[in-house]
Amino acid sequence: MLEGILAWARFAGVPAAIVDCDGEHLTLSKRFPEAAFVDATRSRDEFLQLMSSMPDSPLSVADFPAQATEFLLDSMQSLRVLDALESNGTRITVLMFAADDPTATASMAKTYRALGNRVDYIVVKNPARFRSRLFDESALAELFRNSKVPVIELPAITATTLQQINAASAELRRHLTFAEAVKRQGLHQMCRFEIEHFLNRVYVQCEDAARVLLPDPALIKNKVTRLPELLARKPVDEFQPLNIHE
Amino acid sequence: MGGKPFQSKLEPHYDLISEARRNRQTWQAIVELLAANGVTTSRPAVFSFMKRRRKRRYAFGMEPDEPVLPIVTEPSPRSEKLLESPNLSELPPPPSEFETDPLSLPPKVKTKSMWTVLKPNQNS
Repeated sequence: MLEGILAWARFAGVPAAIVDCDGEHLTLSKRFPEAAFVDATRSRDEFLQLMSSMPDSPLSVADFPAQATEFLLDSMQSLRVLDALESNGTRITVLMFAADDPTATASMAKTYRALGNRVDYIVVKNPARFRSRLFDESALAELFRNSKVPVIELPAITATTLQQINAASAELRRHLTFAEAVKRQGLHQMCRFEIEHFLNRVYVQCEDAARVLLPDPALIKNKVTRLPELLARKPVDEFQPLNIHE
Repeated sequence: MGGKPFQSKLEPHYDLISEARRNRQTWQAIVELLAANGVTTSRPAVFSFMKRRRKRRYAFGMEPDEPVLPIVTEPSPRSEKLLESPNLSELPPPPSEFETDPLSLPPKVKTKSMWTVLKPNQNS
C-alpha cells in the first residue's frame, strides 16, 4: 500500500520522504533503493532520532513492522510525539489495514484507543487479506464512516501478473515497482493493463484522500484524469435486462 | 705456597690519589704528590694501580661500603609548574556524572539523514 502512495506522490508531483523500518520485509527499501533501512523499533533512542530528524517534506512515509504497534504507541506516549509534531504543524496519518484475524483487529483497537482523533486515519482494504465483512460490521468501522475516514480499496492483482513482475525483477536483479513494471515491454500486455488498472485505482483513491495525506491538497501538481461518466458501465434493468436502447 | 697476598705500596694512598684525580690533577702531578709523601713511583704505575683498583673483586663480606651520594636531577618544566601552583585548601571537584562513562559505548550518532526524499516523477 505504501508503494502505491509513493507511486501516486511521484505522479502527483509531491516530494515524499521515505524510510523503511520493517527489517523483516524491507518492502520499501527493496523497491526504492534510495530508501534507507532504519531499525527504529530496536530502541526508543533510535525511534526518537528518527522522529526528530523528520525532514520538512509535504509527505513523509515510514513503514513500521506490524508487530511493533505496542512499542510505537508506548514510545509516542512517553516522548509526546504528537505534541512535538503538532508544534511543527505536522500531523500523522495512520493506515488501518482492515483484517479479520484477532491479532490485527486488536492492534487496530489499541492504536485508536491510544491516538484517538489526534491523528488521521486511512482504512486500507486489501482483498488478498480481507475476505469477511467482520471489520465493516464493527463499531470502529461505523465510527470511521461517521468521521468520513477515507477508504482505499486495493484492486486484486492476479497471481500471473505478480509472477511476471517477479520474473522481470529477477532478470533485472532488482525489485520492480508497479510503476516501473507497467512500462516493461517484456510483460504481457494484459498484465500491464492489469497493473495500470491497479495504479489508476490507487492514484484516484490517494487523490481523494489527499486531505489526510498532504498538508494541503493544493500541493498536487498533476491530477488524475477521471473517466467521464459516459464510459462508466451503465446499470442493467433487473426486470427488463434486454431493454437496451443506444 | 701460601703467604700474605701482594698489596701495592700505593694502597694506603688510594684516597689521596682519588681525591687528586677528582681535582683534575694529572698523573704526573700525582706522582710528584706521592713523592712529597715519601712514596717513589712512576706515572704508569699509578695509572695501573687505579685501573686495577677500580676492577677489584672483593671476597664475600669484604666489600667496602658504597658511598651514599645524593641523587641530583634537573627539575623538569612540569615539576617547576607544580611548584608554582598554589596550595589548594580544598580537593578538586569529583568528575561530573554527565561526562562520558569510559566503560560504556558512545551512543550511535547518525551523521547521515535517516530519511530519503524521493523527487517526483523519477521513475513513474
